[in-house]
Parts: sequence; C-alpha cells; structure tokens
Amino acid sequence: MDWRYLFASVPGSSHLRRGAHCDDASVVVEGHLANGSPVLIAAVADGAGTASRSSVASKLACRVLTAQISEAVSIIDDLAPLDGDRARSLVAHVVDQLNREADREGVAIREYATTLLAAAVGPKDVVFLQIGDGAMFVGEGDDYPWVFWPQHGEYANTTNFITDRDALNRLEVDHVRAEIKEVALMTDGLERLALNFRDQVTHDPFFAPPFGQLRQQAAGHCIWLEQGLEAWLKSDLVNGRTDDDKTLILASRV
Amino acid sequence: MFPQKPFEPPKEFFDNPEQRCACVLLLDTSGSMAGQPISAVNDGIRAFKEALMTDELAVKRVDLAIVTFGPVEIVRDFQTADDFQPPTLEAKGDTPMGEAIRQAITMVRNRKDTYKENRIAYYRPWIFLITDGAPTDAWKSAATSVHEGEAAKGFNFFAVGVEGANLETLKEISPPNRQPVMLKGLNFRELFIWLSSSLSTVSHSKPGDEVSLPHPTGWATI
Repeated sequence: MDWRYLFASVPGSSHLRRGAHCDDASVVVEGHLANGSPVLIAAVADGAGTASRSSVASKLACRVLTAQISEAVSIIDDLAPLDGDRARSLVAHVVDQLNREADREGVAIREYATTLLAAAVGPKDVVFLQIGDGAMFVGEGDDYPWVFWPQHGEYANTTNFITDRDALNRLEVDHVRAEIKEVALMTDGLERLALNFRDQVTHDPFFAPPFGQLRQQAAGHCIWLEQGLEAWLKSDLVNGRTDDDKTLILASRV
Repeated sequence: MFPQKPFEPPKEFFDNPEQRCACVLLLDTSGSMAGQPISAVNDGIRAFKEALMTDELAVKRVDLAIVTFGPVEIVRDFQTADDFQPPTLEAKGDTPMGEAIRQAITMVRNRKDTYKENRIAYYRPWIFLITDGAPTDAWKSAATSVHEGEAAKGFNFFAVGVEGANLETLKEISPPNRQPVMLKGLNFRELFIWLSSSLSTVSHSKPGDEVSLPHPTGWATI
C-alpha cells in the first residue's frame, strides 16, 4: 500500500445527551487496478436524524459502495470509466441494497435516508462522487481546496439523500487526471470548522496539523494516530462548535 | 482615485457566523392588555431570554425580533439571544393585526435576503402571534399571505389567543395545519419557556430533521 490513512466517526454531543447512536459512518478500502496499481477508496455517510434506520443505512451505504468501486476498478487500468453513468449505476446499486434491507425489515425506504460521499484515488487520476452535505478536499501543499460545495437546501436542516426519488440527478461526479497526494472526507458535522461559508473557501488551518502528523507515519492504517483523532473529535474544543455526529477521513500518499 | 472600499460583512455575522433561526414575536399591546396581562408578557419575555441563554448554541442561533401592535412598531429588530435586551412594553391603542402580520412577513423575507448576502445558513423562520382581541384593520389579505407563506415553506406561523381573543378570526388567519391555541390564564412565563425550548430544538436540528412544535403543555387550554 502506498497510502497512510486514518478515519473516525464519533457521535455528537446532542446525540449522546439523547442516548442516540452515531448516524455517521466511514470506510476505507485498499483496492487495485487491473495493472496492479493501488487505489485508495474512501467513503463517508451521514444518516438523517429523523430516519429510524439511519445508522444502519450510513454503514451499509459506505460498505456497499466501497466494495462496488473496489470491484469496478479491478478490471480497468485508469479511473476514467467510473465517470458519469457508471458512477450513477454504482450509487443506484447502493440504493437497491437499501431498498432490499427496507423490504426485509418491513419499513419505508425513507427510514434509510443517508448522504453519501466517496473518493477513489489512483496513481494518475481520481474520481469523486457526492449526494448531500459534507465535503471532500484535495491536499495541494498547504492548500486544501474543496471538491463539491456541500448540498444544502434553502434551510440549514435540509439536504439531499440517496434515498430521495431524484437522488441520481443530484449526484455530483468528477473525474480528474492528476496525481493526488492527499485527500480528506468529512460529514456535515465538521463543515463549519473546515469551511469558511462566507467566502466559500476552505479554512486551511483546520487540516495542516493532522496532515502534518499523518505524513510522519508509516504506510497503512494508522490506528495509533486514529485514537488521537477520535479524542480530538470528542473534545470540548470541537463540541463547542458543533453538536452533530462527526466523521473525518484523512489519507496521505507515502 | 481611491480604491473602492472592499465589502465588509456586518459585524454581527463576522463575529458570529453560526446558522440562524429567525423568530418574530408579534405582540398585541392594545389597550385591553393593560395592567396584569402586559406585565405578565414582560415577565415572560425576560424568562424567554434567560431560558435561551442556558443553551450555548441556541444563544448564538436564535435571531429575535419584536413587533408590537398597535400602533405597529418594531420594538426590537433581529438580534441573537445574547444581545437581545427584553423590552418593557406598555399597553395602548387599537389592534391593527393585519398590518402587523404584513410587517412581520416583510421582516422575515428581508432577513432571509440578508442571510443570503452574508452566506449565513438559516432555518425556516418563525412568526409567533399573541393577541387578546380581534383585528381592528383589514386582515383578510394578511391571512392570505400567511397561508401562502406556509404553503411555500417560507416561514412557520403560530397564533396564541389570550382570554378575550376572537378565536374564530385567529383560526381563519392561521394556516390549516397549525390551528391557534388559547393561553391558560396569564401563563405567559410557561408559554415563553416552551417557545424557547422549541426554538432550541430547531436551532440544533440536522439535515433530515422535520421540526414540528412540541405539544403545548402547562400553558394552553386545549
């Protein structure tokens, strides 16, 4: 593996007060192209607060999508074929799986409402896809520009979910030919810390310290550093700014 | 030539970029509210502020304005709860409820534009009417605006009648899905504490949360 990475999802302080679960999920998978080159595949999801199965939905969505992408990249030599319609069909498959789960459990699909964001990073190109709020970032030295602006409706408590009827029309997909060195994915719980909404730019100081530490680690899943990330996400410093569930994935090429 | 002055955001949004939940209190201060009722309202507003102050996010997110009638007067323009100073209202005049409602709707619309200009995220605003009488002006067009605004999800409108209020008119003004409620005696304090906790819930809500008002308990007669 030529990536070092860490990820964590922690429940927000308001959920802890109500004894509710964490509705966020995150998954990182190490895949390979047909030619053997490694592909970092990362996904985050935020289940809707009012949906009763949201914590199941976010985990299932991340797991199914990363597995789908891993399979899809194993028979191609670059990520271009994942752009556009292929990306939409991958997400449609995730929705199918959620529909099956809903049928099995005898509940409405809206109880599985969740956002979904994913990145597949190969040696020479990258594919991003996103429905809903939350954000992804690309590291360029000291700058961390965002990929898609978080999808919010008119009101702060409205967004798009993959279970919405017209979700696939709202799916944003981007394929970029570039050697990406660092990526970050987050759910909306951290948006206000990492993004400056007034100027619609990244608040770069948010990323500099954790990426600085990550770069000093050996390749692979940095479990030890991950404990530090979890502790920080649960700290009063972070909870003073947001009471929502929070998820962060950071990955840095070795 | 001097360079043009760069755009500077209003201090309130620069210092506090938190998302906002605008709430207009539309309060009847007509002559019939004189004495005990108006002092109970003033008491209630103080309790309202105190209750909001105990919630560290709501205090930065709930954006309050007070409009009294009559005559129609903006007693407090939008301010977050930490800056909000409870007024001491006096009862006088008639009940131009129609004009007051139109004023509140305009304020809410303008406030949303201000949020957008400053890229401040916001929740659906609240218009909260309290009255002990019946409109003394033309109110039908105001009722239509309330119904249209509710249907377009532009704001939430909620009416509370105090003893003596014309409940039939309030029903016609209120959106069909949110019928007016009668206040039990002068339980303004309980009403405002309930309102504060409802606004706190809204200001903590996440994408996907459909926020409806909790059932009024302890202050309503239904």
